[in-house]
Amino acid sequence: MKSLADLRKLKEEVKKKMNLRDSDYKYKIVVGMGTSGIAMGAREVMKTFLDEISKRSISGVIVTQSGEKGASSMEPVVDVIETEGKTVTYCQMNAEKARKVVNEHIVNGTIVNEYLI
Amino acid sequence: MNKYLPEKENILEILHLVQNANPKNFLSKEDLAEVANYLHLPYNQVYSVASFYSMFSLKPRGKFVIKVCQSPHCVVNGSDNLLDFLKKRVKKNPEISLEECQCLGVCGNSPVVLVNDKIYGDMDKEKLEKLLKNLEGGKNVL
Amino acid sequence: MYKRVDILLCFGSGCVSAGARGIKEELQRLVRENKIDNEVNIIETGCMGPCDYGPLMLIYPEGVFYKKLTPEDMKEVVEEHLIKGRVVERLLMHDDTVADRAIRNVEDVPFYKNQTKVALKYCGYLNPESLEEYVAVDGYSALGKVLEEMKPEDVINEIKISGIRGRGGGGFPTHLKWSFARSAKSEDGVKYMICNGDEGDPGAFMDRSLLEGDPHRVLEGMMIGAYAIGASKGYFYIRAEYPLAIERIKLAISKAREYGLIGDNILGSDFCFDAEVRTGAGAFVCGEETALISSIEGKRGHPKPKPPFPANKGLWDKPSNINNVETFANISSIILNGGQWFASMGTEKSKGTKVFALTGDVKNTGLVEVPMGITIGELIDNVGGGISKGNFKAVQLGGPSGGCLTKEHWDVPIDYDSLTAKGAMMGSGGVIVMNDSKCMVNVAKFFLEFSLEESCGKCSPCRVGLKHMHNILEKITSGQGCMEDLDELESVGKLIKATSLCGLGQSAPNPVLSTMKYFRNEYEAHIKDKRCDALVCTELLHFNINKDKCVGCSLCAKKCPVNCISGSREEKFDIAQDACIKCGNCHDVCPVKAVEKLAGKVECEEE
Repeated sequence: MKSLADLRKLKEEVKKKMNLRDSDYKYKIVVGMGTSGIAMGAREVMKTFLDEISKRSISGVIVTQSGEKGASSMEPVVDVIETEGKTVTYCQMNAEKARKVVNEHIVNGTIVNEYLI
Repeated sequence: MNKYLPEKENILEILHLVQNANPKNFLSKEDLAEVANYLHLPYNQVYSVASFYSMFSLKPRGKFVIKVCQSPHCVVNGSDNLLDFLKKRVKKNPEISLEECQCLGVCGNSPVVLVNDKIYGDMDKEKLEKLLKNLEGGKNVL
Repeated sequence: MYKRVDILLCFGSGCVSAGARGIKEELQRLVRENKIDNEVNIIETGCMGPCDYGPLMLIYPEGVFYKKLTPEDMKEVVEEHLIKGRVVERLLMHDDTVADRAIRNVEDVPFYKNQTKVALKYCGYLNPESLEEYVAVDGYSALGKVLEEMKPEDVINEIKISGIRGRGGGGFPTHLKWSFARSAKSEDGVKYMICNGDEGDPGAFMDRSLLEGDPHRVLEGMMIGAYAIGASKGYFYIRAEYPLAIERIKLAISKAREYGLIGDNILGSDFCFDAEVRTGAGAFVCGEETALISSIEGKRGHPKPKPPFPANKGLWDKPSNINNVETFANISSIILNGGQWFASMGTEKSKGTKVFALTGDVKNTGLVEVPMGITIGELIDNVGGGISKGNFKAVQLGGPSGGCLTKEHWDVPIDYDSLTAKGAMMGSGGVIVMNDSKCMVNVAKFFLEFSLEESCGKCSPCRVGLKHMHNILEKITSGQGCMEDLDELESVGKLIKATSLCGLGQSAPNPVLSTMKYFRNEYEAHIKDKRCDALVCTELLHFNINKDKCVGCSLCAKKCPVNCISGSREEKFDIAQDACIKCGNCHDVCPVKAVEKLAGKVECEEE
């Protein structure tokens, strides 16, 4: 490190990796991980989200999980929460749909209407 | 020893190293002479430093040195009872030495004992017994 | 790979001593077994604070805080929390003020809510072995700011505005110390910056926690100070009883060197700096600055008379400046947020916050940071959660150099000057809360014993005087004392304070003098009535078997090591008082609690 600019660069890089701890996010993706959610493939959906976010090295996103939502027929259910508090809920998710949600909603900010509850 | 330059300021670090390397966990006369030689100091100066600091032992000790904290917080929580228990319990074993020590700074988990460089907190007789069994088997774990 | 969970495991010495390593191993194993090891980060952090709830775990992004963990709990944490997203209720902290309310978020834990963290801000939040994580929370930007836009005089001025005083106990204004060292002349230009990490007060572990939990913050503070006084070499003197602190600070130094934050022309400036660690070897007196310097030089840790002060003639006779670990930990925040910001906290003469090690008979023991000026009562009740059992009797502040305060001081603000005026001392920040089962004479004797043992023996007031005081206290606690002893204690104590060479002797009589002032009746009870009402001094109590309760089981008689208990099932049992050695075995084994522990010698009872 040779200058203050180098220090600032390092700071920005590492900060991205630490956004989980200061709950500083633009989008929070909450995957429902109740028993029926898991039975319907919620783990696979979760993994796809993680995978896709890594691949595209998107920052400012938190992927987390919650318990049963009580909508078994709609499982796997995924909430996407924006910083401003707006929440949309996608249902009957799978790996392919998850990829599309990342591509359109997380990257471009366009809600994927066809998957909404 | 040659991890440190032969300068007087390194004497404490060197004495720590030499003591840890001694199978009897202490600084023998030969050890002190060797340190004096390495640092180009008179023997008595090395002896004077080694005898000042309580963590250096000039008498042979066991492979494991159990230190029981005798500061107020630990004593209030029963470390003097543990010390009495240990005094009776480890008498026979030459591999285990017992010492008292001052605060180890882990007061939230008192009473505390230190075995070589490992700290064990929230101790009671049952845990000590288990720890001693492990030490007797040559392992410093709980 | 993008991770979805940060699991912070408290790896402060408290939690490690309570078994944090075993928890980490089991957690890692289960995470692998459940194939989620590429989704979670497991991070070791420094001390999180509430040590008696350890081992502790904090899971983000949820901010869920788990306490008192065992390796067996990990299965549930992994399968329920990490996989299914269901919080494991039974491992949560509970808020006593609301019946049975489990606390789901770490921000709602009352222990944290009433604290203000500056030095400890990121302790227990960062991985202390990662320079990168420290940089992410503005680490080393204060150093960058100083090197780019501030002259050494500006730094000292900012510290002056902040009003920070030495956190090691003495409370000397830091800016004054720095300006003395800055203006001191050195023939060859060499000056030294020293960090005093020889924290030895019983009941104090602030410096250990800071060095273990956020070592880069301490290093950065030292570097800013070094720039201000014109030093290019620093020494950390750390006691050997803190192996983890030594390891962490060594690692921090080598990481900083790797990144070029230590070395020549740091961040493109003219400033060059290097640091080294020196390990103590078990001598309390080395916390005194002149003794510490002798020890770094490779000598016996003997103090020297002052003047000359270290600022003019310190390490190897060069101008040197010594600050405490906690003082350094505050510097970077002062530089980034401005001296005004720091000065807005605290009282008129004691600015900012102070870290305390809260121990003893309070519900929440551990590491806390509060604004200066908080009252003793607020600290015990609001942060400590109140007395854990019995009634509040006294609080000991400042360790072996400090004193005991009582109920009447409940509203005394905790700042340097108020405490000193009451006969206690800020000290390094050990706070031991005591309930009514503690004998104050015995407590005073205990602290005196500590100072006596740690006295280096160089000057006679400390070496001989403390021994004399100790003998008198032995006499009093064994029931042999007379009233003249109290006068003797006081005059010898004052003499030692006035004539000792260094801080150890000058403050060692404080625990005795302060307890004599506030608990004189207890001393008198020991002397006149031969009673120890706290039932601590064995010579001043006796055991008696209550025949109405005794069921005649004979367990006490069997356990008596001197066979002084006799009787039968019908007649019940009795203790032959003249033969009793007061070991207390009978009291401990009695299944119906018929053996009573009573104050006073048995002769007094019969009179």
